[in-house]
Amino acid sequence: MIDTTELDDRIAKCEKILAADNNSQIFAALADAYRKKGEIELAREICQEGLENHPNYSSARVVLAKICISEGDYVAAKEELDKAIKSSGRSRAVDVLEAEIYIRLGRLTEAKVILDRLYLSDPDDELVLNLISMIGDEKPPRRAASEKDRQEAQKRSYSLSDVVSLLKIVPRVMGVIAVSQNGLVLEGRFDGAFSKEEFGALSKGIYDLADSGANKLNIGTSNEILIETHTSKLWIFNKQKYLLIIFARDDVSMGSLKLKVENLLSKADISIGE
Amino acid sequence: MRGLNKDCKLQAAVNYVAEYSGVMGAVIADREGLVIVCSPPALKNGELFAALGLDIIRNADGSIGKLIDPGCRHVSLKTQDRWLTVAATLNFLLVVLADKKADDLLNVRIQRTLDMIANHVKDKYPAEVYSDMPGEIKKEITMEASHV
Repeated sequence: MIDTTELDDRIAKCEKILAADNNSQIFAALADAYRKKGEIELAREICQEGLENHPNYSSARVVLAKICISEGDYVAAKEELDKAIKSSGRSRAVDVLEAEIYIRLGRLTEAKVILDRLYLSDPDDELVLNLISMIGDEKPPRRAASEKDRQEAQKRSYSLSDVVSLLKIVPRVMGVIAVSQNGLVLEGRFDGAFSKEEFGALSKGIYDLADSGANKLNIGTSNEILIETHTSKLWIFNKQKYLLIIFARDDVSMGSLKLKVENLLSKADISIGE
Repeated sequence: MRGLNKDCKLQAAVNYVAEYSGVMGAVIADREGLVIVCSPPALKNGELFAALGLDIIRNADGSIGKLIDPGCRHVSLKTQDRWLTVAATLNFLLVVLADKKADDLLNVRIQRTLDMIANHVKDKYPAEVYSDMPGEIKKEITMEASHV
């Protein structure tokens, strides 16, 4: 399933880079994000405009081929893909895309040749298995154990200590701390000279002051507060029983940090003693 | 609003952010929390937004200064169905209130609005006027300090 928040985040970053440098090759990533979001016309416009400046940029040709597939124009998709292959050669992703185009064009024999080769090199590739099933050539499922492993991994839950430790190892994160609603530090890992208690108390104070401002505006209780300075970011999540506070450098990847937080908190099994 | 004509660049800047999907209202205020322009022009509680926006960013700045470094330039606060952003540039404050319909691209528009404000100030005033303006809310100058 496509995570629209992640896509929006990616689009925002790409647009920011393009705004700073309109000759950047980031246009291909931007077009691809819009394509995934379903905004096909806009994706095509961005991609074609970028290709005028970078006609040999093969990644952008691949994106344009995918846009053509979304529009149902498989002949044009094949033409764009051929240009990409001519410019930068083949890759596994290009082969998968070519197999898909052949299937859409009804050229099943050519698709099968490519898919057999891809299946041999990686029998667990779901994209390849899906395409194989589209041409009615079912392959036996190979690694039943790996599926079991995946299920086990999905079932795993994290304690508050795990969440704090796992967030702390994200690049450019300098500190993570969990504070109870009465200001007591529950867990904390961070670099820095100040004590956990000092960090926890001041962060709780920041949250309370910002939240009281929000209350005066009648917009409800804050679930999330992000404070940015020139050198750092302080991100506070209100998880009802506790506040999770992340202190990071200004150049932290907010998109990946956000995904990590959401992923960990969705799996967290946290009980706080009264 | 406030006697400013349609061609006012600050009004254009605030309109630019306010027209974004999900934005309920936006205000540009001065460093004392007084409304300069807002959008829509008949924005209810514009004065409250400006005053509380300044309080929020000053409080955050005061506290974060003890923790990390002073110089808070952006506070974003999300509730169940509202998203409040307070951002400072030169001596101006931008306050934007949005609802759930707004997506993360609003951040890009806010940044562009801040750039529009900063460009306008730089165009309008000589460099020596704004060059000592910090990009964030200045620390309060106490009466004692101002008389020493």
